[in-house]
Amino acid sequence: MKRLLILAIAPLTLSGAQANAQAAPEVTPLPSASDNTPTDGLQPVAPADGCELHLWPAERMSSTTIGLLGGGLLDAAIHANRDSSNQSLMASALDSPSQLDALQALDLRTLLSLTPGTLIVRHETPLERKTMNNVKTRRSDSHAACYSELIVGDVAYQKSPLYGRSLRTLFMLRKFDANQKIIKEYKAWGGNGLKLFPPKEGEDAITALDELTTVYKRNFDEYARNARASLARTGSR
Amino acid sequence: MWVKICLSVALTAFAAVQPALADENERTESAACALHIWLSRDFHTTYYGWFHGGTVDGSLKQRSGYVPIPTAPLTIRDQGEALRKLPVADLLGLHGFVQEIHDQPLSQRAIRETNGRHAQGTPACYAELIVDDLIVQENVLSGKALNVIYRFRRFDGGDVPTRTFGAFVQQPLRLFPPADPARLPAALDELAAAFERSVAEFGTKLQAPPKRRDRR
Repeated sequence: MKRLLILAIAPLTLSGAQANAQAAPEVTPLPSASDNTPTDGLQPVAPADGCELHLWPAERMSSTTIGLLGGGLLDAAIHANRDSSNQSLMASALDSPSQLDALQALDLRTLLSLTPGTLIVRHETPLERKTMNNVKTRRSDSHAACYSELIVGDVAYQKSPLYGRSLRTLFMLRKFDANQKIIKEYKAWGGNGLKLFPPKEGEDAITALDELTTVYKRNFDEYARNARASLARTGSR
Repeated sequence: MWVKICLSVALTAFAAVQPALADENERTESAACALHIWLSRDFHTTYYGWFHGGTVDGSLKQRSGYVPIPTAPLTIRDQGEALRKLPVADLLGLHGFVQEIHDQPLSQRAIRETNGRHAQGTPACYAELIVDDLIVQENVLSGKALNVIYRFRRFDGGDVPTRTFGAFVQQPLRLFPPADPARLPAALDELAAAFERSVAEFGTKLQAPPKRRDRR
């Protein structure tokens, strides 16, 4: 009789144990290795030659939507809420680490005609935008004889009935001599069209936010192409 | 005879506990489902004015022309307190899911680049809600709002999400950021309330049928 009762009750006991095992899963958060700044691309691809490229992200972002009224105060008022949310989405998707990651993922040495031995240095805090043009000295403490700076000034979204949606980015490259003197400088916008950004409120926004990073990189590619041509011209004079 | 009696007693007992067993299985199944929540350590401000604007975090950096705000107006602790009061799983339509809030936030890099689960050892029936970013935006023409970007992923057994959804939701603000420092406590309360409302709104958007643009 005991055996029979045990057999009858056994499934209950077993299911209770299983329930306890399932109710308290051991949660192991993933290691925070992904928190660390990626180092790929920072170290020289050839023996270090003492050259340095310092990077600063943009701190100024804007969104301008031009409607059928062709701009102006009324147009700005109509699109104010949209422009405000666009600016917020850009601030999130292209925050300082994301901008630096995007640049770092590119072959900056080749794109900017730098030596393979150039060390790339990230600066996580953007420079104050209004000092971008005024300050003519090095923005870091480095005393490297071969020294360059790449400063991102603005990220601007624009929508117009004529040209559609685009993201433009202002870059500035400065090369210094062994002292504080700028020997070469090239500042220009890179701009490309957008297909997905901006998303509407409540819609799935992930691909649209990812598009900002893709186009940001494309903008730099365009800028770098022009920078190489321009700096080569000034260098040959 | 004794064998028959014992057998009938055992079967009666088994039959009597069958509904209880079914209930237990049901409870176990729902208890095995988990919703893990990560909060945001990022907080940004944006501003559009008549004559200036565009500097991201101008208020946090106390730049001239930007209304200064406390460095951490909605901390991880504040977010956690707000969400612990709410039935977040139910708001997302995940009835019966046990919710667990992580005090340690994920990095932006991890949020955007991790394809699998952010927590290991989690049950097969599992979902994630990540508060990606918190932005207080102000436009001189349209007013102030808290803009929260959420990311949701659901896994049904494997390490590949069966559903992903990320969206921003905005909640209007009247008091925050306060021009008068004396009104800071009320403004912070308003900010926390706006954050709570944003979760409920995100839940509504999550459960809404996908729009044509999202069906790709």
